[in-house]
This record gives sequence, structure tokens and C-alpha cells, in this order.
Amino acid sequence: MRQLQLPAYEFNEEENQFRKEVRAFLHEEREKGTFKTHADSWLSGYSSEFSSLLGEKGWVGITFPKEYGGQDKSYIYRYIITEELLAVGAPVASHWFADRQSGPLLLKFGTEEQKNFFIPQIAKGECFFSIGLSEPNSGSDLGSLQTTAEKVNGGWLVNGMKTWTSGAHHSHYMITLCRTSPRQEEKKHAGMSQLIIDLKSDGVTIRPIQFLTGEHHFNEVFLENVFVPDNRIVGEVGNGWAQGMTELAFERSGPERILSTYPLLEEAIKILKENKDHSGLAIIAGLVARMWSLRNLSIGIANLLQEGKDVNLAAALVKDLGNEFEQYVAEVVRLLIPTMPDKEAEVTYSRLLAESILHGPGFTLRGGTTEILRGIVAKGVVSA
Amino acid sequence: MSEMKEFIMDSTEKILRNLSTKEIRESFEEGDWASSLWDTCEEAGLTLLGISEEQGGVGGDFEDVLGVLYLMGKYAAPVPLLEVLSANAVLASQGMEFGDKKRVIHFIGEAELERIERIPFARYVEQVVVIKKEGETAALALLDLSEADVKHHENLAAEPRDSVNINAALNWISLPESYEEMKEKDLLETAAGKSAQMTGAMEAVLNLSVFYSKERKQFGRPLHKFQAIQHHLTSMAGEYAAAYSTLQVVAASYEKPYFPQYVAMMKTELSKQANTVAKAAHQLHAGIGMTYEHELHHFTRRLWAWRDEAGNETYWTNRLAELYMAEDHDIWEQITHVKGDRVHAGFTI
Repeated sequence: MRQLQLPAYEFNEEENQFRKEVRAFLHEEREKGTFKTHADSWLSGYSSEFSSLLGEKGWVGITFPKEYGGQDKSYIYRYIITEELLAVGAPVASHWFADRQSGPLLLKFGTEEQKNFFIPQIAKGECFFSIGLSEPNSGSDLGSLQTTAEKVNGGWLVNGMKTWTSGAHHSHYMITLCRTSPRQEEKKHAGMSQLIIDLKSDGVTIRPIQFLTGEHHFNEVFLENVFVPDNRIVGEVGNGWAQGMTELAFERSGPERILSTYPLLEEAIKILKENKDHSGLAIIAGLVARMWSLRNLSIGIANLLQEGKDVNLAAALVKDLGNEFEQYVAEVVRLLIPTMPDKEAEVTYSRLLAESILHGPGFTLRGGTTEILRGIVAKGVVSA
Repeated sequence: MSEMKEFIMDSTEKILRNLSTKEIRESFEEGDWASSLWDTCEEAGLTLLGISEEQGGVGGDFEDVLGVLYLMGKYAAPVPLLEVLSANAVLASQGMEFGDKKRVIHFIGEAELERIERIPFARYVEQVVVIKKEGETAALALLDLSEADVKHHENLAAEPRDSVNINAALNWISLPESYEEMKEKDLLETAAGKSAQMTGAMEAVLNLSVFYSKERKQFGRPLHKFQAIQHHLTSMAGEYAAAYSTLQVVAASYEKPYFPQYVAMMKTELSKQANTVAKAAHQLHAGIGMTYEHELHHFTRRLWAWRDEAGNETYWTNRLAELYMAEDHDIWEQITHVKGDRVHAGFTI
């Protein structure tokens, strides 16, 4: 089954040197107290200061072309950065979506004016994006979305509501998928477009949806007669669904689908080592072997993405298996090192365990639920 | 993939497609040696693969060997290619004769001087290359099986794992190498080879499952339309894809310092996921999959057998734990191969 046979990728010397540099920097910043390690930091760790610090280093939008303020480096470099950031649980949520999705989307489909306006700001780590997809009545069945953009003089008038929008309260813009022509039963994905909505526009109301911990990551975004000028439509009118699909492999195959609870795993290893708990470490070795195996697949995908290949099927698999792994880490370590998980605890292990357990439900839901992914994969292997 | 490798893979797959069929596997299980398959493999030079031409082999590297073994698993080939290759590689490295006879290798402990057990395909091969510890180094002897007392035993997949009584006195040849190092090298290569075979078997199981899910209809729909079945298909596809990528990574790491850790992790994962794949496939196939008639069990029984050979999860995770205990060992450095300044999560209990 060719679509599932990904070649190995070996990091070269230059890439390894780069990893060292990133790691040393993070070590230093961590020591200085710039940030504190958290599980699932790419959803919950907001720090615009830290994002702009990374921007200064040239580590946000590192794959973007130099003419737009990027570094013109490969996706492998981006892989190294994201992986090192997640391994230390650094606060990367602010710029995460702009770096991962919105920037590449605009570079691929955006106008010259859009690229000149947005890409340099993103690369500085100063311009944050949210992704406006889900709606109250359109979750997994995204094709049924109802937010509409109606053509008016000089632009579009958007009405509707988006939900589960991560970070909308911190972001400057939201790439919003909406209907620009009425739904046709036989072609339900036709007639959608991607609009860049300035979240400060009149008619935009952002309300928090409290996460089950009480924290504020998600939002409802109400859009009431929001005017979006013609120059803020992305790519072709009516082609929004297809354009959005091209982001999916990036969204689903990255290290954030495997490493959300890595800080907990590392902390557990440290304790088991101190306790000279050989049998505990043997159980951990099984987790590490799993992580490494999924990482091999994920890196293979990053390398093929660089070459512009279609890897959607394998990407969905990384997300499905990786998310299960992220949850499983907490279930295994809690029995190896019993504690009362407490997200306010001063003991790092207890805190990271609490974060990992409480954030767990989101892993297998965000970015396509496990059930939806499995449907996609099954369809893919059956038609291969 | 190199052109050479592509050629080897294509020609091997052609051989297996014709000669490692369901019928041949069935008659093998009834006691017929798969002679046409084996002879064709020999003629194609597969039993000399990975051994340099100067040493009397046909060239090719460890990556080629793993590629061919992957196909052996994919077609559940009832021949001891992995085992014969291991013996030939050792004989070649000692400058001894090889390739003239079918031989398998066995490292014996002190208690085993009269009887050796679980010898792969002993009933069909001519000699066992026996290696024992002798002082600080190793000694090697060729045990002739033509006169030996071979008692039949099998693994879960009905592959011969016979016991042999050593009746005759053996002529031991002293070797310069350390016994432990030789044994470890053989174990790692065998574990890598088994993992390659298991990955191939996983592909076969996935392919059979996809085929059946399209063919079989219930409630007026093909099976693959049901979400519960889609979960099984995805589980198999995921394990196969991860195993395949990992196999490529391990193949590229041969002779690198981290090869042993890679093999340990790969065999751990393959052994663990063998049943994930086998279980999903049997559930999907339902009744027909548990009959002798359907060939699914040629692959699932091999997965169950091979997960315990060349070290199972318990064995390899204990070896890895040993490594983790070392003070300067760091998992993230091990995974990324980059040593240097790093961040840690902070204070602990």
C-alpha cells in the first residue's frame, strides 16, 4: 500500500547544529524564568512576549521566503523548532496557527498585497491568527456550515457564528470559512470561501467558552454584518474548502500530535531514575518506543511535504495514533508514580500530570476527531 | 531507494508472488519442503545477500537484506532465509566455506552441550553452526544434521523449531571474537530481520482486510461503510505505516552507534502491535478468518509467533531500562541524536 510507505529522513549535520542552537536558547530562557514548562503548551501557553522573542530569532515562519521576512528554510527546520519547543513545554500558543497554517496558506493562495502585509508580521511573531471553522451546528460535519458572506459594494458582509475558536481573544485575525453561494445538496463543499476577518472589526463579538478546567482557550465568535473588504478574501471565491484541505496535512502530522504530554513523560523518567526503579523504566521504554515510532512516521511526512507530495492519509494516521499516545502517557505514569494530580501543585510532576489528564479530552477532538480521521483513512485505504 | 535495491525488491517480489502461494504454504504445513521456492531464492542469490563479493557473497547491504525479509513476511514465505543468511554472514566473516549447504546458527549456553532447542527448520537444513563461549572468546563447530536425532517442534505459525540431540563429538574451531559480542550482533540483526518480516506480514494482513471489507456485504452495504469496521482498518493502516517508516529508519542506521537502541525500540513496538493488527483483522474477517481455508492465519499466526522470537517487549524494554538507568543517559538526546544544553521541566518530589 504505497500511500503508507514513507521513506526515512535523517537529519544532516547542519540541522543537528541548528537543533543544538534552539535547545541551548530554550535552556537559557527557561533558566532565566522567561517561561515555565507546561503540558499541552501549544493550546494553553499564551505569551506574546515569547512569540516575539522567537520571531527575533527568526524562528517563527522559518519556512517563509526571505523577501517576506522568513528564513527560506525547509520544513525540517520548522520540525526541529516545534519539536524542541514542545519538548520543553514552552508557551507557543499565540503564534502557533499563524506559523503552522495561516502563513503557508497565504503564501500559497494569497495576493501579493496580502503576502506583503501579513507574512512579515507573522514572521516577527507579532501577528496572530485563529482558524474559524466549527459552528454550533457544524462540528465534524463541517460541510453543513451556515456562516455566510454576502457580496456588497467593495467587499463582503459576513453573518454567522464560529465556535471552539482557540485563542480568538489573543489573535488579530481569523481565517474564516463561510458560504459565498447557497448550499447545493449534491455538492455540499462547493461555494465556500476563506475570508480574513480582522477581529477588531465592527460586528465581531468574542465570548469565552470556559475549558473544563475553567481556563479560557476557546471562544465563540459572533459575526454580525461584519464588513470584509474584497482584498481580504483568500484565493478564489468558492474554492475555500479545497484551499483549506491543503492545510490539513500540516495541521495533522506535526510533533504537536505526539508530544503534548512529553514534559510529563520526561519528568516521570527523571523520578524513576532517581528512585532506581528499573521495572518502571522498562514500562516507560515501551512508551518511548511508541513515541519514536510515531515520530519516524511524522518526520517522513514532513520531508514529503517539503517535496509537495500528497500525504493526507499518513497525516491523519499520525494524528489518530499520536493523540491516543498523548493520552496514554498520563494513564501509564500515574500508576508508576502515584500522586494526587493537582494543577496548582508546586511539585512539577503532580502539576504536569493534572494538566495532561485534564487536557486529554481535547487531544482526540481538535483538528478532526478520531472518528472523522478514521473515516478518512478507511476511505483512503479502500480506494488505494 | 537505490536502483540496485529496486531491482532486488522487484525480482524478489516476482519470485514470491509465484512460489509463496497459499497452496505452497499449506503443503509446507503438511510436511513438504518448499523446494522450488527455496531453490529459486538460492539461484537469485538471496541467500548470499549482504555479503560482499570479495567474501563470496553477491553484495548488497543490510538495507537490501531487510527489504527482502520484509517481502518474505509479506508473502509468509515458508523458508528460513533470515536464519540461513545469519549463518552465512558469520561463516563469511570467519573466512569459512558457506553457500554450499543450508545452515542455521545457534549460540549455546553451558547447559546446552547435549541438546539444543528451537532450531529453526532443523529438519530441512544440513548443518547447524554452533557457537559457544570458550574462555574470553568464542568457538565454532558445524553440527551435521543428517545423522542427528531431530525432534519436531513448531512455533505458532507451524514453522519448524526443532530440538536436536548432539550425539557426535564436535570439532571446535577457536575464534578471535568475543562470544558475547558475536551473540549480541546476531541477536540485533535477527531482531531487525524479524521486525522486517513482521512489517511485511502487517501489510499482507491490511491488504487482505481491505479486500474483504469491500467484497463482503452485510445489511446491504459493504463492510467498510460501517464506522466500527473503519476503526479496524485505520488501526491496521496506522500500525503498518508507523512500522514501515521505522523499518526504513532502522535500515539506514546500521553500523551507527544507535543501531542497537533502534532495534530494541523497533522490536518492542512490532511485538506489541502484532496483536493490535492481528486482532483487528480477525474481528473484521469474522468467521471466515478463523477457518483454515482462509489465508489470513498464515500471516496472523506468524505475527503471534514472531513477536516472541528474537526478544519480546519484556526482553527489549528491560534492556532499554538498563540503558536509561545510566546517569548521563537522556531520552530526548537519544531520540534526537543531539547532545547539548537542554531544558528540564524543573524540580521534582
